[in-house]
Amino acid sequence: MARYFLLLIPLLVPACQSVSIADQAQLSKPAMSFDNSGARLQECGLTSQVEKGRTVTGTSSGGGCASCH
Amino acid sequence: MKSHTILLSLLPISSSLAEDDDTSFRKHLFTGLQNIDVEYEGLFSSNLDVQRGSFSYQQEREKWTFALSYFQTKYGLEYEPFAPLGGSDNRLDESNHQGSLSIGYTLQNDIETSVSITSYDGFSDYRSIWIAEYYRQTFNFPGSGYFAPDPEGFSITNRWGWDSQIGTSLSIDLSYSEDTIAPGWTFGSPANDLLKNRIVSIRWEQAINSSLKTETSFSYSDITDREPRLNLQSSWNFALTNEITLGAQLGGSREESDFDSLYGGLSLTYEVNEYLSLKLNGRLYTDSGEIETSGFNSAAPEINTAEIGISALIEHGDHAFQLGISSFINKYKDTAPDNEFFTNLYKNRDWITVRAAYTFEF
Repeated sequence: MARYFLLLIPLLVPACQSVSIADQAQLSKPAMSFDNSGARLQECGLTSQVEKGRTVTGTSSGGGCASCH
Repeated sequence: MKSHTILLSLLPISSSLAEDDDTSFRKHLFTGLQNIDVEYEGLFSSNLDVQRGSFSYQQEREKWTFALSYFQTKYGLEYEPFAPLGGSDNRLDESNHQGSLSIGYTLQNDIETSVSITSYDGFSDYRSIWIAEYYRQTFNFPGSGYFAPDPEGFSITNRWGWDSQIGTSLSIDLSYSEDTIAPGWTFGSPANDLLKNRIVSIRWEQAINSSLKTETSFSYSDITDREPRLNLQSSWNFALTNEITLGAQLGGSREESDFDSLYGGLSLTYEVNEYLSLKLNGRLYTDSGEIETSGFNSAAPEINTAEIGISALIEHGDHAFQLGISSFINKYKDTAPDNEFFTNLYKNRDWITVRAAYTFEF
C-alpha cells in the first residue's frame, strides 16, 4: 500500500506554483492535454476489457458478469 | 376557377415561407460552437474480436453545453470449452448499443456543472459473453430454471468543474449506475443479477510551468456484493522542446480483501509540423487477480500485460484525424482448480488494437 503514497507526490509539487497567460499556447497543445476527446484522444479504450484495475477514458461501465465486473 | 388560380398562386408563397421557417429553425437549432466526433476502435486476437464505433455531437451555446453520443460494440468469439470438462465449440456474435445525453451549464466564477445520462443494452465485455455461454451449456436443461441473460443498464453522473486560475482545474464526478448482468449460476439458482454502483471521482489538473503539467485523479467505487475499490492515478506531460513532449503515467487500484493493480507508461509525441504529430507509447499493467463473490469461480487469475503503439494526428483547420495501432500482449497465471472451466478464456493472447477517429469543429 505504501507504493500508492508515491502517487501523491504530484499533489505536493504544484501547490506553490502558478503560470501566466503567456504559457497558455504551449499548455493547450493536444500533447500537453489530459482531457482530449475524439481525434485528439490517442488511446484505445477497448484494452479495459482485459485490464479491470485501470482507469481508461471513454469507456462504459457495468454490464459484465457477477464475478468479473 | 378564379379562386383556384389565387390558391395556386399562393401555394409557392406559403411553401417558400415554410422553407424559410424551416431554414430559420435549423439555423436556430444548430448554432454556437459545435463539434462532431466519429470514432472506430478494434481489439483483435486469433479467436476474439471486439469492435466499437461511435458518433458524438456537442454544442456550446453561451453558458449551455449539450452533447449526444451513440456507441455500438460488436463481439465475435470462438468459444472453446476446456476439453476434459466437456462442452462444445461455438461461434458467438453479440452486440452492445449505448446512448448518452449530457447537459451542462456554466455558473459564476468559472464553475461548470453537468448532468449526463447513459443507457445501454447488451454485454459490455467479451468475458461475460464467454462465461454466459459456459453457463448456458452447463445449466440449460429441462427443470434447471435456467434463463438466458439480457444485460442492460443505465448510469447518471453529475459533474462539477472549476477552472480556478490559469493552468489549474478541478472536477468532481458523482455517479450512480444500475447494471442487469449475466448472473453466475450454480445448480438450481442464479446469483444476484442486479448491480448498483456508486462512484465518486476527483480530478485535479495543474500546470507547474509553461512546459510541465500534471493530472492527479482519485476514484472511489462501491458496488453490490463487493468491498469498495480505490483508484489513484498520476499523469505528467513535459514539453522537452517546442516539438517533443514526454508523457508519463502511474496508477493503481486497491480492493479488499486481496485485489491490487499497478500500471505505468511512457509516451513521446513529436510535432512534425503544424499539421502532423506522431506519438510512440508503451505501458505495463499488472494485477493480483479478481475477487470471487458469486459463489462460482469465474474470476480472472493474476495478469500481466504490455502494450506498445504508434499513432498519427493530422490537424487542418476545423478538421482533425487520428490513426493508431498497437501490439497488446496479456499473460495470465494458470487458472485455479475451481475455475479451470475457463482455462481457454484466461489464456495468454497477443492482440492488435486499432483506433481511427475524426473530429469536425464548426
